[in-house]
Amino acid sequence: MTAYITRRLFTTLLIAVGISILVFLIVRTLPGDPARIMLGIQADETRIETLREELGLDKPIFIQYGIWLNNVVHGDLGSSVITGQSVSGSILNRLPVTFSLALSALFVALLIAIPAGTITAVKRDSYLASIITVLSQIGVGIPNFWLGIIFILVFAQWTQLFPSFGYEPLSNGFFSWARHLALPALSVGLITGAIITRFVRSAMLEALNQDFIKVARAKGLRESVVVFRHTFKNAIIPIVTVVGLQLAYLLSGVVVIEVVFALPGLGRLAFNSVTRRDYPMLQGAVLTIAISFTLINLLVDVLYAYLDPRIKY
Amino acid sequence: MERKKSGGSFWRDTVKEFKRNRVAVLGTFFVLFVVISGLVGPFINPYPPLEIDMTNRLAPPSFQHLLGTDNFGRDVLSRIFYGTRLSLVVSVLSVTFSLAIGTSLGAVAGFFGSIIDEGIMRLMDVLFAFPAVLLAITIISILGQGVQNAIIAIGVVYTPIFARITRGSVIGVRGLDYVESARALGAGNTRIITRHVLPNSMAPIVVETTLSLGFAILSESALSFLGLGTQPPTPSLGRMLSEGRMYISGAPWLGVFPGIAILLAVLGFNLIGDGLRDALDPKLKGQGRI
Repeated sequence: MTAYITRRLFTTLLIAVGISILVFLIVRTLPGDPARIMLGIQADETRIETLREELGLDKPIFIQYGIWLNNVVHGDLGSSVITGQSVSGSILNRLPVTFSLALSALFVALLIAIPAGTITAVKRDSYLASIITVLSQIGVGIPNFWLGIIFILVFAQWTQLFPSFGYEPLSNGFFSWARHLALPALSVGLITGAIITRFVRSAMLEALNQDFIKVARAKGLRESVVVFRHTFKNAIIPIVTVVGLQLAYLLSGVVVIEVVFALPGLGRLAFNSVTRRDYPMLQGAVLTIAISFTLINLLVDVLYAYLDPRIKY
Repeated sequence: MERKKSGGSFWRDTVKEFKRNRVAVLGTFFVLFVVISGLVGPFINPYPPLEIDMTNRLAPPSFQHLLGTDNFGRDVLSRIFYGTRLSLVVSVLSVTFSLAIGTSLGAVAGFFGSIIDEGIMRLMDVLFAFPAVLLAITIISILGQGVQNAIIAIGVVYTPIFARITRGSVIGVRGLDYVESARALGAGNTRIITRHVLPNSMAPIVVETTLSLGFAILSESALSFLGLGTQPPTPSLGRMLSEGRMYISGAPWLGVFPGIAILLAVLGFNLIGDGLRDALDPKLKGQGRI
């Protein structure tokens, strides 16, 4: 397993370097002077000249990349063209919002997916299973931002049960935090739940077909013991992988939902940077999201290897 | 070898198996409905999609305007017809882009192996490390906004998936006897890949193409919703949702109908994709059904 983890760490490092090269190239592939792009149109010539020297723009491109990477590794992602704030500071401010949305959406998703997926596998021929299967199919096809709009219409405008936009930090009280997150978390969570339900179902079906389940039934064990103690325990490994991957997607910023609900998260930061042509901010946000996505994937793989000792690498 | 011998009947069996799957057939109806609406709709609807009629702003669904009008008095049904057509065109073109590039890269990587394989697949891994919408908006930030660039952006997003799948299938068949026989008969690499290896790796690629057509429609609608895809006044389903959202409490039809159009299209392609997967993989028989 150590060999497997070492190999996996090595590929992750390779991918991280690849990501950094692509992110570095965002600014370099744009037509025009990178220093001017980084500082905005209104910057004065002396500042542009200083930055040109700092970025090593008169040097070969791989040396420019080295200078840029060195700054990034030291936490210096530059500053915003629009506000002048440091990019790393802005990203740190946004992280709690994206974390809150991701975790609450995953909570909603699991609350639905584990029982729904189990029922569709165990009671395969029941009407309930058919209804759940239809709903999960529909769920996978719904655009999450559309669900968000419908929820705003029903729960914020017609019934006024929840606020339709904005974010309250957890430090202002759990109730207010949860109320603001309810609709976005439901919009994303229901769809993620539909995706996970399908995986729970197939993992449970596969486990139910194993010989040891037949033995457990032949021994006369109660169905609940067969399902929960024997089947679920064996189905959990593929489920953990899918849940991990979904968490990676959620943590990487659900861009459109953050825009619909005006949540100041990482995804919205990336989107705003595109529309405002704030390239240093865009580079910072994209780099953070892609690297964290890769790291979570690494963690899921390592967890998988740890959970299933039968697998030889 | 067996597949190759009975090439025709393998696909015939697949179609037969697919037809037996009621859910997949339903999906085919959804897709046909959406495609026909996109193709024929613009010719049969009574209102041009861009025609502004300020006397009829935000009119609810009626016999004159079956799905109501928007804040400029434009007919929602006509705009949905045009938007659906646009979504389908963007989806087909972007998936064709990823299919062409992804399949070629995957086939070359899987067939030649070693350093070529490593080089191509690590690049695909890097692209894979970006969540879809984020990668698309990053590409659009470089290329600029607009439909053509949205097609390229979505195409790039789905390329690594096709590369991975093709590579996997190619590795599965490249060592088989009939490939060796073709080589012994003097066939060159290009001929072996295009005539012998790829046709026998088609099953997973066909499934992924169908599923990607649905997801590409979702991605296009997300990009247009963000204002990065289709530019106004061209109607697109995502854009209609983002414009309609301001008026949604008084005119809910603006938020509901374009969403249903997206849902039908995506659901249809997903159901067909799942049905094809079941039909092509005898091991899964009976598991993917209701």
